[in-house]
Amino acid sequence: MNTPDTHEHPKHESHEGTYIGIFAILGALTLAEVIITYTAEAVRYPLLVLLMTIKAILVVTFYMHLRWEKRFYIVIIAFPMVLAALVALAVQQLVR
Amino acid sequence: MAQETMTPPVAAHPPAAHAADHHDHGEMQKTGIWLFLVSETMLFAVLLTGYMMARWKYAEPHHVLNVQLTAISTFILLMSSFTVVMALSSIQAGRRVRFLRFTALSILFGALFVGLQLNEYMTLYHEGLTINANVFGSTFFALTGFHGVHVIIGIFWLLRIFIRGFNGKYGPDDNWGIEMAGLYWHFVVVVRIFLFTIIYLF
Repeated sequence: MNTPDTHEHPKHESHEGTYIGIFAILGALTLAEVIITYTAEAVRYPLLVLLMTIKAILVVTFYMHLRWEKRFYIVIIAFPMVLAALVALAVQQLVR
Repeated sequence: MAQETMTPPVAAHPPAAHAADHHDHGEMQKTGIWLFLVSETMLFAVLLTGYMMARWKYAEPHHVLNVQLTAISTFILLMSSFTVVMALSSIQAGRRVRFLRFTALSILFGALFVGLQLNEYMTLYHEGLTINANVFGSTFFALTGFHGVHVIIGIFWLLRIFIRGFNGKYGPDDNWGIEMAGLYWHFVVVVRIFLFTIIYLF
């Protein structure tokens, strides 16, 4: 252990408050998802897809630091997401 | 006289240039890992699409799945995502002991998740759901098993980070390795978010 654990390095901006807030939201959304499974089918699926998407976006945006990254990385990650959604939609049409 | 006006010899690798090189190398690594995660996204998208197709087409029963237990294991993985990001934040602030504690917690949460998944597999096996029982079993085990292997790889990666961190390899200006492992780990958690909702809640 070479480095002491006492002094702060102000060079990197700390986002720890944001991380804690995001964690609380993720926990609440997971609980909400489980509760939603007991509701009617008509509202269940759209709500579940919405909450799932919000949770994924929160992790990618804040924990994977996309919020503070160059636009280049946003394009990189957005491309497969759109492609994956198109694949899922195409399969849905095939199954019907 | 001419010697007096000469500028002092420039070092082969001045500290500023070395830091810039290190940063460029880190950025390249980050681009590489993002591209890798993109390919992984497509891989999981195809597996998930196969699962959804089987579920809708054959209407396989999935009442044997334990939603409450998997909600807990998913939350454990979400906690590990939080501890991984806190570990990175700690080392960036120069707080190495705190970084080691958060990394150890992340490994523990990851191991706990794998343990719960194995427990789930054993229960399903006893209830007759195996990988070759039906189409649902095949797609379910392929998808969750593939994700589980990713978690196990992530645990080993975090273990390596912990050992290197313990030996003083990281600091406020040298933590690219932790960031790369973190990106991978968060991706695995994002995949779990999708799997939990689509497999267990739909």
